[in-house]
Amino acid sequence: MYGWRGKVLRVDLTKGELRDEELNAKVARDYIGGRGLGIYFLNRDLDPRGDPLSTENMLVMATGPLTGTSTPTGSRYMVMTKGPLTGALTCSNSGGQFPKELKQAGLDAIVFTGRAAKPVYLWINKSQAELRSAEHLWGKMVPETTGALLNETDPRAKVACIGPAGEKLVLFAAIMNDNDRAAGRSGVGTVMGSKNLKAVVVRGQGSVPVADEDRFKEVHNRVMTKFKEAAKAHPSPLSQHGTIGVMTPIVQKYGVFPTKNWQQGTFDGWQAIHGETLTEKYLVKTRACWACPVSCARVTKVEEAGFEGEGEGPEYETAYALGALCMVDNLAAVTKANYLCNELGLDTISTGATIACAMELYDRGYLSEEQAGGPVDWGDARRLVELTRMIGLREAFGDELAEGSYRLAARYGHPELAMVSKRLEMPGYDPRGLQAQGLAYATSPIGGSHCRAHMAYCEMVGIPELIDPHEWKGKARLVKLWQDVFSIIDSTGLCMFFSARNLVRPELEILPDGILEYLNAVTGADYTLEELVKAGERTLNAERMFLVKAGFSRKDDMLPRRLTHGPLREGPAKGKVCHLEEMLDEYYQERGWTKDGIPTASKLKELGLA
Amino acid sequence: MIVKVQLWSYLNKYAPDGQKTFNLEFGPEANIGLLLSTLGIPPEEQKVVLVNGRQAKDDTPLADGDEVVIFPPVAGG
Repeated sequence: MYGWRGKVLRVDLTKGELRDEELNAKVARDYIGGRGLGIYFLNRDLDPRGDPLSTENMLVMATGPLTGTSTPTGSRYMVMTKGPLTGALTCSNSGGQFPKELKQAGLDAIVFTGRAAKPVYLWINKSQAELRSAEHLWGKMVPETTGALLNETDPRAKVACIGPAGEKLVLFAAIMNDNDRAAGRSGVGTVMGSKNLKAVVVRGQGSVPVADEDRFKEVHNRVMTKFKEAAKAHPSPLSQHGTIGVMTPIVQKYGVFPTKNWQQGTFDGWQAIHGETLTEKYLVKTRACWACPVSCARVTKVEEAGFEGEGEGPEYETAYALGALCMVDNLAAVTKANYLCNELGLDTISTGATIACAMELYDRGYLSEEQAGGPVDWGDARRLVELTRMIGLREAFGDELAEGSYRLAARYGHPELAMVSKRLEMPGYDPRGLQAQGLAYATSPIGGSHCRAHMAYCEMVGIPELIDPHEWKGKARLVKLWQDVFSIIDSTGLCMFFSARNLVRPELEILPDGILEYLNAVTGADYTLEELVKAGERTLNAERMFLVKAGFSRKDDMLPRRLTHGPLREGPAKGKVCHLEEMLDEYYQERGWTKDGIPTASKLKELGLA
Repeated sequence: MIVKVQLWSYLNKYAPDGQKTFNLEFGPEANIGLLLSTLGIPPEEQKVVLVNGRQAKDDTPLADGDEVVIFPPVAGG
């Protein structure tokens, strides 16, 4: 096989046994890899009704056929499991260097089952793999863990690990790789912690074999020449100021910058947490993942008293959640809280959103100072940093926050104040002023995520074409098409930032011609465009069937009432709500699902899932 | 009428004296098309134009006190 390595490592943590499973060629072709391969394994081997923190849950780390090749942004892997925060499927994606190292070690995926009796880590040294004790690492922060593991294995190895948050089963713990990259969302790190698996360390060798080197070079030269010419004409804003510099002013001007736990769509302090401010005050250098020509990551250093530190971040979603949502306009504090999230192994979106939820509960008098162990005021920068640390260590009130917004708000009698979809805190784009993004949140297989279809591209910035963000009619078709293409991006091992701009047809349907060219050059599998698009749709439907078996249906494809019945009170989207119910009817029809959101027998048959 | 204008990122090269925010004065019945030609922004330059946070086209009329933001199509997040 080319592109694929043909091997899946199965790790039974209960028995401490490792064995190789051959990757079936038809499965690889039908599901591609990454996210597709992940759902294939979960549907095959896991009962979707089980408890996410039980021994029975599985954790899949899967690369795509383009991961580790020179395909631009071919740096990604996907972590899939049943999520403890949501009870839904979860897939969380990360780049950096760890995923390509897995491929270089000859692996397409690792499937973990069971639970180790004592803390362990998996050490993969080229073609050899073993479980080793991690008792000496338990309790250590991510940078200490990573450093210690590189010392005791190979300094050139790459590490993915959990911090104290994952060990203590904070429900939104992340898996951190290469220190600062995160598979952050919906508790993949929690599942790792529940399995007593502290880390995966991998050292590969050689490069990923490509089927047709000449064809690859031809495609690559064409794509990169175009990209470099554009970059020469205009410096890339994403490289210059990161996602925080690109998105912050845009969401502010559209009035869709979720602020004060989604009570507002604009934030007066936005300029203080803008990427240009970050560049000016704290940027040390930029950093790129494997094979990435963009370099959106920010390496920063803060020297202000009380917020000292250095590391990566913040990106836009972090500035939104730890900043605007909590009304914190202190960039040093936001950056410090980001460092803590990375060190403790926490998802920054859910961390910020849960603190914002606590702030609203406190503001409305539903949560007392005594219950919270002190005031939880809007905009309190020091408290933000303190609470972030307390969440990661489950200390005092942090123990309640560690359960996420939904459980926190429900505990204090006001679940409606949890700004979640399928109990997952939503990213920083308000669906009242971005109708398609609202539908994408509600129908995302993992809950409130922008990574399963980032509709802001067409609703706000005109990639590939600008559409009216306030119109809901006709959006369902677009969301369906974008979800299918994002599923291909996630399955091949690419990053959405580059792919959605440079490797799809410049039409609203964003057909993945560029991805197809790379995929065929790398794998030699001669996919047709139709077959590739169908593979994206297959994965979406396979994920939906996992959810259906776990008890999910239309009733769960929901947004908080604040977004569907509480019009924005200020800004350009004033008076707007998200027309979710109307869009859902259209969406299920586009998908070939019943009105209750269940894939029909004929749709499943068409996709080979029956 | 006076409108407030912001040109972001590399489109700032069209701003008079490279200012981040500046005012432009127009007679009555001005629209976005006139504003773009006044600034010398060619039609083929890819851009998003917002007037008070709403997407605008060449024929979108301007009113006194409007805020116009023009930025290139770029995304992340």
